[in-house]
Amino acid sequence: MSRGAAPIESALERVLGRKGEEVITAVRRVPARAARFADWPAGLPETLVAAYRARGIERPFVHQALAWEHVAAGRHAVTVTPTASGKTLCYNVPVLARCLADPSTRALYLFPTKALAQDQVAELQEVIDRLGAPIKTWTYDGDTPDDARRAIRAQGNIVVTNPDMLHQGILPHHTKWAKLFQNLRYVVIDELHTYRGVFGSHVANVVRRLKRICRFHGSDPVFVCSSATIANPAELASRLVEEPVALVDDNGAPSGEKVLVFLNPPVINRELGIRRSYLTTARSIAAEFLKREVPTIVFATSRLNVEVLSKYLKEEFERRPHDAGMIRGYRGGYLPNTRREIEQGLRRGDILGVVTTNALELGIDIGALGACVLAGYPGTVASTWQQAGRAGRRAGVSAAVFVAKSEPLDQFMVTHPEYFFSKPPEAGLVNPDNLLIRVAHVKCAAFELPIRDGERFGGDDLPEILKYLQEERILHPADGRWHWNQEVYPADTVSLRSVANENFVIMDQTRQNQVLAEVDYASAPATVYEDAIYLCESEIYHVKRLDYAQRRAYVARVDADYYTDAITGTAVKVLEVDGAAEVAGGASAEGEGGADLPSPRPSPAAAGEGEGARAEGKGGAHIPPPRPSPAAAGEGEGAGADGDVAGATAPVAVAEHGDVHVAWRVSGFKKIKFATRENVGFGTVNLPDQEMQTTACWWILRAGALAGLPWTRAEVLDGVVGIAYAMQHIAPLLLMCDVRDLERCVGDRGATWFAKADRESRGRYAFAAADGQPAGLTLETLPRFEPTLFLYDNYPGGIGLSPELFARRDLLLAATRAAVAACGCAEGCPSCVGPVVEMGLSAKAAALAILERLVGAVASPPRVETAS
Amino acid sequence: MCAPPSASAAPAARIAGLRAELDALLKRHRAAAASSPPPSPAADHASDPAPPLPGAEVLTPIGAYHRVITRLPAHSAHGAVRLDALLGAGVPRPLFRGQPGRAAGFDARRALLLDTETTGLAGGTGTYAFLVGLAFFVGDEFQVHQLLMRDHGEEAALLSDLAALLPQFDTLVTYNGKAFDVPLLEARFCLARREVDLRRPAHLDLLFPARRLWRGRTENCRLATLEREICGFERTGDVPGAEIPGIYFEYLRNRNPARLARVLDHNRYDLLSLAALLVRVLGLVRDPRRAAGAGAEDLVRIARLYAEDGDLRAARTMLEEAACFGGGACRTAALEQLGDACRRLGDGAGAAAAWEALLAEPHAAPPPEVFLRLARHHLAEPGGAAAAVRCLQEGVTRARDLETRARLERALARAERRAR
Repeated sequence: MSRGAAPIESALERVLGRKGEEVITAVRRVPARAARFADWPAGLPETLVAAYRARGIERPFVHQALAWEHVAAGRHAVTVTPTASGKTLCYNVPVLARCLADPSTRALYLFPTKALAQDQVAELQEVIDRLGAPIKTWTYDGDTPDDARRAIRAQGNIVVTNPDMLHQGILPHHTKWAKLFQNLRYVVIDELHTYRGVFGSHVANVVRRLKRICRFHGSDPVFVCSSATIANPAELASRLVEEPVALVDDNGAPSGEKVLVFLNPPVINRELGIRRSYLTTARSIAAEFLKREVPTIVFATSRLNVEVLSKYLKEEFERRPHDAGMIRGYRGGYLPNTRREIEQGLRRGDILGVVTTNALELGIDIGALGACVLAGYPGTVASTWQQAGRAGRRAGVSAAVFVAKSEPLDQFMVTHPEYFFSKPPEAGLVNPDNLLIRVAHVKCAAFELPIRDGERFGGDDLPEILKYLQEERILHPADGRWHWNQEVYPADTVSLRSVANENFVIMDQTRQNQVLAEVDYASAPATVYEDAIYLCESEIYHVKRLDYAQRRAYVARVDADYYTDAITGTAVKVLEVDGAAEVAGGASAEGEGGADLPSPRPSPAAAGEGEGARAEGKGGAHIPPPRPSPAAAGEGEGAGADGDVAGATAPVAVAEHGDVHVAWRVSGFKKIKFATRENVGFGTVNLPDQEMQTTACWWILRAGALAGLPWTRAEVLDGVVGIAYAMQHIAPLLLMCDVRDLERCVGDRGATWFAKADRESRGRYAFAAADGQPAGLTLETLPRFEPTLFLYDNYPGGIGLSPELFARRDLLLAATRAAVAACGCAEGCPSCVGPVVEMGLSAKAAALAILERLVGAVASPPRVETAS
Repeated sequence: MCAPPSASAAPAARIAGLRAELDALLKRHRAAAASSPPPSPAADHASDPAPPLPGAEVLTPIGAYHRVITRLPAHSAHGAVRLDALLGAGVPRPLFRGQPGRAAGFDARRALLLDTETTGLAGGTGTYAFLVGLAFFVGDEFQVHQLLMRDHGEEAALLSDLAALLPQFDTLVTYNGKAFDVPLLEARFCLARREVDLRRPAHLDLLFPARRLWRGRTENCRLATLEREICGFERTGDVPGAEIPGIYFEYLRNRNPARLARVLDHNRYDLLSLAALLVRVLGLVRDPRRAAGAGAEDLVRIARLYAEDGDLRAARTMLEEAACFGGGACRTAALEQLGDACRRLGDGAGAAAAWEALLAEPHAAPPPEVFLRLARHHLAEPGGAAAAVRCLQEGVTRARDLETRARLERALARAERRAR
């Protein structure tokens, strides 16, 4: 560290010594690690070695030499090492060596973002300049001017781009890129770990298309990947490439000492379970470092929080005029120039503190920072290490402080640090055969090159998909091939990153309608509704008008002391049941490992082989074969759940999973005061419903779970809503996904009513549809009361979470019960069933009572390995 | 993701389940494209026996395709234009901008007029040229050959005959072919694994001169507009271009040739209009003073073509004439360009004269460069400082924005120092 270790140590001392305030739950010192070198491989051109030596790289690290061995032998490889360990050299060396030997060589570099691509070209160009060889490197993205494009196609040895551009701009025009595809020797995929979930499932299909086009042009490139630390890099790489990929994970790069601190804001109201705001805490922690001029990065979990936190810090550190710009916010949605300027400012040291989303988690070069504050758990172990890694490079001490939110997952992590430190990072999961995603790419593939009969593109059911597309008049079969049969350009209608690719543009009325930022289609309804407060670069804007059809929001700068938070309502309708099982209730919860927390994921190979077995219920519970429709079967049972039939024989609940239709609506918003976060008003929103079809896992609570409970139906429902809250937040522990990948909803299996928050923020129950619902019926007079708790994949078509959730349903119930039971609050708090002010006084008690019946009081609490 | 979704279990049911969603997605794009009208059931199941497609099947070693040949006497007229006016005509150099040396060798008998009908305008490898229309002179005939693939399986045969035909010509004439038809055919050849160099022949893309000549004077610069306005040809019963992909997709499904025949007509009209427009453009650009109906404005526009091609002398002659005969905006444009042409020719006096004349025009709004250059010209002459000052003062009073005024005021201050 250029600024020395002393200020960092002294700031740490202050953080650790804050008396009677925060609870420090863990302090870990990760010791410094020395470098381990290898010799330059024998086959390397002298000039290349000399060029690297001239850049100060005397010898390669062991992992760099190993990567070379694999790639030189024509094996696909993935390098997994931490930030700043010289991963780029792993792929640049083989590519440059080959270019020197054969100037016709072509390589394609894929980075998840434009910024990373540009960063990379700058570095690569430096090496090439030293080589003095005519190797041409270019970025090809949406910003590339037209006249440059032709030259890049014809002459670019190394084309650096992103998957989106490959998908929309290159593959559909592959004949113009014939030179590239004919001579393509290497495909570099950096930041491989970002290609997971929906994005990864899309990218896997783009790779399928890429390989198809390479075959057409007669090339068979080697894939050279690199990834941050995740549990299954080789598996993820081989799922993306659909071929075996060699793993290189013996990190030889040195690193300085790193101190990790886990910190929980103090409880300030025990009854309500309210902790001091983690934002306030994170701000004062960051201030300790900033005061001592330690370059600091603060990661917030949402764009909104980036704005709130940077506003706070600016107020504190930019009091004098010449301090302006010392603290900056950084997130997606800022215009590219602004982002480049901030990155540069960080590298040069003009900017002391940056508050960001995970946008800066990736390898964008922002120089060496001394401290990192994680305001909220980033959602995964892998992200936590990656973000903590942005502080500290190769030498000197650095600090990372995790400040927990009051949400269940955060609280679990901060109170069980051993769990965090013993747990391997998550696996990157993809489902390239998600039907919706795959169909989209079958269309793109057919556009690029007619699909031959018998050709493969993912799973076995390609013929059915082709037939479907023929019926839809999208493809036309002729001569044993399926041809594109539409005017439109299919790649334009498929966004790799979100459901719809139309962004909303935000225009600033106070500056002649200049474009201020963009919001993606899916999040627009909840962020830029009329009268919303929109925060950008810490300025406060008021949304004056939302032109939904034109995808435009008009905002004006205002002085406001509040921000807004959308109130949403969801309705779920079951379309098809893929599996069902009775929840055995208390008696069976003793089953093998029933209440254990997930053990670290089994090895990828075992997971692959064991899939059938896992789907059959790993938790040891017996799952009867699916019945056509348990809910329908239940209709005739008369009496309803409230009757006195709650004997030992009454069914407790039925769990099902399958396809659902989700309608989602923003019905209003709350106004929340900046400083106190108190609720100061409401407004209504009129926007069209968002709809999607996805997969879900749900629990229908029967009489056995509810009968005889000493609460009204409304209060019982509060409890169910609380269970849903807790379950959604606990599920990521089991699924190794992000909280936002799942959504929850409580309603009726028959879709007649749904629980949704209303103006008073207290559970009120909206009757979904007029059909089938006699007028004037209230919750208390419903003939049959069987609340159903839905957890669904928050992506059209599903990304495979729900079936996994169904398979692990017993674990989920047990872990949820344990989390709620273990929470120290009195009547519910954000760490268990949700804040009592929103959930109702009896929510926690009701939730716990119901969970006891579902799981059984005898289940053992979650077992967490204590530190060893 | 981990557990396999039940896709493999019941794919048909799954696909049926997703139908609604895919439909919803597609609907948006249909609405956006609005070019594939929902096929009427009547059209789909037409029971009346339709007249067969004109033309005949062509058999090649790699399969069949369909071809329609139309033969016209070379002296026939299209609208107000006689096609044989092309024979013996030369192409003025500016029309071959960027392809030096091509103009000298032009021979109308070795020119191939080309226009494709495609399954879309988006471009990319999934866009097919299902109809390739070609027109050329053979003996005393002007022939139109239309190569049609009746299904995707016929594309290879069609392309192989097209590839065999191309070497017989050394100039390609198109309308927007540089941006559209040629790249599209290149992609088709590449996909059919055929090495055909479409960039070998000279390429005369009439869209470029047409824009130079008529932009702003006709409603737009589409071929159908120019054939009416410039060639005096009135089409009847034409199919709108936007409907053509839909008509072809419909033909693929129901094999009813009735509407496809109208696409063949449309394409033939396009080729004839292309020929007629070529006659007009060649006539105008070669010798605007003798071309029928040409006026001062044509001269100004054509002069620009010559100037861009580097033939400043030809441009100067035309501009002098245009300035002389033209009035109003035409005269001011001519004077402005004339000044520039003279300056680039090193004819300072000529330039100054043109600019002086320009400043004398009552409605002229000359750019600041005119004042600055004229002032510089005055300053270069002995005792010209006073004239320069007057010129710049004029510029300052006529400046229409603050930035321009500031710039001229700075120059004025310098000139005033020189004058003292």
